[in-house]
Amino acid sequence: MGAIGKSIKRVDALGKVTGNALFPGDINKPNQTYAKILFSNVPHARIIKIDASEAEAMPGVVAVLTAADVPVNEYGLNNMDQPVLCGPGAVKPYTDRVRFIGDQIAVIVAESEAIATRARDLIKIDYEMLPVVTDPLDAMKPDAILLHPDKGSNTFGHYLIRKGDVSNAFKQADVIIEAEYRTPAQEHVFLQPEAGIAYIDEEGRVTVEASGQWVHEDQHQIAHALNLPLEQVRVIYPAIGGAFGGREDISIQIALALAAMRLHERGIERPVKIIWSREESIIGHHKRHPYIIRSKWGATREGKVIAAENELIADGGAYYYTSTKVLGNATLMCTGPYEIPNVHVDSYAVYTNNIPNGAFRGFGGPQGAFAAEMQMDKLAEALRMDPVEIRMKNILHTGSLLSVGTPIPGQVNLEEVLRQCALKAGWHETPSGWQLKASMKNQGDDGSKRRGIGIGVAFKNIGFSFGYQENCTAEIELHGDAEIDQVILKHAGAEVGQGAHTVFIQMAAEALDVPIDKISLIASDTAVTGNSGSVSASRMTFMAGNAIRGAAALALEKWQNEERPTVATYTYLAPKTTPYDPHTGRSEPNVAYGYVAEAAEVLVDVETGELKITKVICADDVGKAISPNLVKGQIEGAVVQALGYTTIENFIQKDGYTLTKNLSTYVIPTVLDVPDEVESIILEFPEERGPWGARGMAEMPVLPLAPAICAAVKQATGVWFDEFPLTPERILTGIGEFEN
Amino acid sequence: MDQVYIRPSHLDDALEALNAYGDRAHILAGGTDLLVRMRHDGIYPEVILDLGALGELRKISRDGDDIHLGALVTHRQIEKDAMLAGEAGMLVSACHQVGSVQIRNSGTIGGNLANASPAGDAVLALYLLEAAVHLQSKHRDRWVPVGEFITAPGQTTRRADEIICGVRFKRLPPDAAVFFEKVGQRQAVTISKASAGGIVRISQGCFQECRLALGAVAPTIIRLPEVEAALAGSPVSPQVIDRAAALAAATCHPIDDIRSTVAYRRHLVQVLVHRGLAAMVASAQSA
Repeated sequence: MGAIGKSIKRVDALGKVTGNALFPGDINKPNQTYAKILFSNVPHARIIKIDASEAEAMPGVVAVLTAADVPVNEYGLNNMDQPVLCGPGAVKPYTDRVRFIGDQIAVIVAESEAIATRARDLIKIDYEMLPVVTDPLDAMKPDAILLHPDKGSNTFGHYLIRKGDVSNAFKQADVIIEAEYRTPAQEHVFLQPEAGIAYIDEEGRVTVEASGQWVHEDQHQIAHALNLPLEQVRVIYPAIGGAFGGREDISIQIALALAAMRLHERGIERPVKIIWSREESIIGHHKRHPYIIRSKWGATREGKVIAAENELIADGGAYYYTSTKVLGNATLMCTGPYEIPNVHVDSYAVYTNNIPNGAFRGFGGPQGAFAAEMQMDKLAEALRMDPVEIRMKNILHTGSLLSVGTPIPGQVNLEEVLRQCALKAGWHETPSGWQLKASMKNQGDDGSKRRGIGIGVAFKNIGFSFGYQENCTAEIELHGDAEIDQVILKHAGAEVGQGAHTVFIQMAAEALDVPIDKISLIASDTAVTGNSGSVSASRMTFMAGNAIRGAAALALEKWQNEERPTVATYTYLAPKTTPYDPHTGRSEPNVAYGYVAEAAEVLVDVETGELKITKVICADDVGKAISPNLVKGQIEGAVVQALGYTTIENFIQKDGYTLTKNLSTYVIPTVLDVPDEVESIILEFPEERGPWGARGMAEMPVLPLAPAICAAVKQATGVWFDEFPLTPERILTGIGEFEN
Repeated sequence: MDQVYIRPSHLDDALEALNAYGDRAHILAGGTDLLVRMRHDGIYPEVILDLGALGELRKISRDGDDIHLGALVTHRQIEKDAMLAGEAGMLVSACHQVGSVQIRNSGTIGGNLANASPAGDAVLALYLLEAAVHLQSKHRDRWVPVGEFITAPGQTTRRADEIICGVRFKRLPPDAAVFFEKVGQRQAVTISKASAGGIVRISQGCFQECRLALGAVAPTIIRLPEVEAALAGSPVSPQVIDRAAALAAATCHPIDDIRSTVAYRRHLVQVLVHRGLAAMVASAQSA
């Protein structure tokens, strides 16, 4: 009681501020070896021959592993289309080719990192270069080179939604807005590049200590590639230096496990350690998907949106990753949190020779929301209507029908979320509807500086769902005699910096009605914790809370029955959902949603093109803030990440080569680039399916910021920007200062 | 391959070592360039000559109107010096806009010169101050004007046996107005897309003396002699400032690269020079 709803000291705070917490790169074991990975460094080629003889002969080299050493040379979170190591010698066809510059070819294990690096550079690869395709529109053409010839097409995902009759509705519309939007790639820039150590543990298991977002999924993929029974593989997460979706897919884990296993087979009982440099990290893991979204929306004179037609094309990069899941979200989000009677959506994920694209905070939501909110702003402009007013006229309510033809689950209070954000940002409600106060309409006359304000709304699903059975396991042990003296909570949910472990302990204390300091947590070790599912999709507070609540109820019941010590395991299964119907798109896609409204104030220097975001107001319906400071931290962090995405982060790939391979060329915001003020409005309208009413919230502040900033820039400059990042070069070109 | 690391306590010993090793030695001052290059570009110097113990090169000293900065004076030292703001204000603003506090605490003025980046912020100020670079070897001791010292990106006239010991320049007269402005990819810890600086004196409504320099828009920092000449003696007027800014933009020759474009850099030069001249006029008039 009273353990939730307040901001306790983070359980991992002391270790992290004192440096005692061990991140994967900090873990060293006696007699360890060091691994380096040979990346392809070419975007598309067939490997004719690998000559590693010189590398193998080099003093200090312990082993060089290539494709022929991989038992089952494939992996992937949703589809096993990626070779562990590219090269000849594997049974599976087409694993002899590299499809992007970060494809892995060899693992070099040596006495030191320096030796491994030099040995890597001695490996000779005989390539037959293949044509490179980097534009998804080109890759979709029938004559395009196929990245995966066995699949017959580069288009590997397609969803559609058919609701009502858009062509008829367009005839009824008083205004129609058509546009093509382009959203950029984004690099996660988690603080800690990929690192880990692998060894054979005391029970003979191939063990990997590394960072990730789902220990059991990593275990599954490692076991598959190594052709080992699941229980022969163990994955442990130590402290994790950020993730943001960037650790959902495998990076170093299989390579490390493979090395430890092969050394063991050769009688070399030595751990294998690896730390990627920032450059290796940047080419070695996926990015946020760039999207091309073509939209045509129609509305009546009264501001009612009656038709929305969208086509989405996602650059999937070289491999499957989570592209289709991301696409599923974007397909749902691209018509915004609005009840629109006629919807027509087609969406595609396409292979190219770019770095694979995949999960990144928001997971398709930011791309979809960008198109939806820009369309709403342009419709408002065409109708001479206030942007808040038009949103209020179309916004989702409890029971509203989604584009997929089914009612949205749970209570929806988005209108109130928008109302609170709008009031704080400078709007007011008048007898003739919502309006921006006159004082906020002034663009300013501070020399070259122009002011603007914009606002956006969004909804974000909790969990992957679309038919996936969401599940999460927790185990609780109660020790003591008359009183509960000690509680051990076992949970696999990853602490990636967001504060998950603190929230787990708060929820366990609440459910058991014991003080927080009696609870200790054993986390993220496949040998001792049950499957929690992934820390992603804003799902973990929701799923873990339900699992912990179930385990606590069971434990207390056993405690009452005098079982000592009490051990209770509970697996939460979320309510059923359904996938998109292939012909209509009809589905019950998700268990629950979070709701957000966000306003941004900007200052544009129309001479230099520089853009400063001066203030962001973010109102979030989180259901219940289990730990309010952590919620605030998530909002502020999301704002900074979304601001970087919208304004300065510019990931550049040319002909399959990455030009921004380090943090001096791929720049992210510094403290001087973030808004002077981020005002978080935490709203708590309970979600009945959530634990204590909690929803997930870690992604949603990312969704509406890009369109809110673009709307603000429009007010400041008079120009719509349908593509970002809003670099000064793009802004000045847009306002006609010069041709770039 | 073994690496030799030398950290002499006296300049003579350093010069002796450099005389022996020549271009096999890499000189380490603040390390903000060398260590990055060693880590990322695979540079593996046979000999590292660390000047860090040469306390004599860490001093800012004055002799009449002459100001001398030892080569190991850091950007942060310049930024925090009580008098330099009045003596060479744009050097202080330029140093303040270099990297982060951590980088400014390490990075030295000598290293900034040796690195010879066309985007160097502090070096741009030295061009405006017409500073002379002090080079010493076991056998020689010479002073080279900074504009002759730097010849191309990363290229200088330093000989393999020479150490940059410091720079010398004259303090600016009290009635000189100055500016330094840069625009990078973000507000801090950023490399200039373009930068501009200037010094002017104004009397009787006319520009009397004017120095202008640009960064990141040519292979080296450049001065703008045509623009300076056009301004000298001209009345202070919006038209004169407009023309000077336009001429500056026309004179520079930027490139497209990962950070920006020719068009934007040229445009930025026009804006920054215009703003700088206007600001200097305003400050001269309010003085």
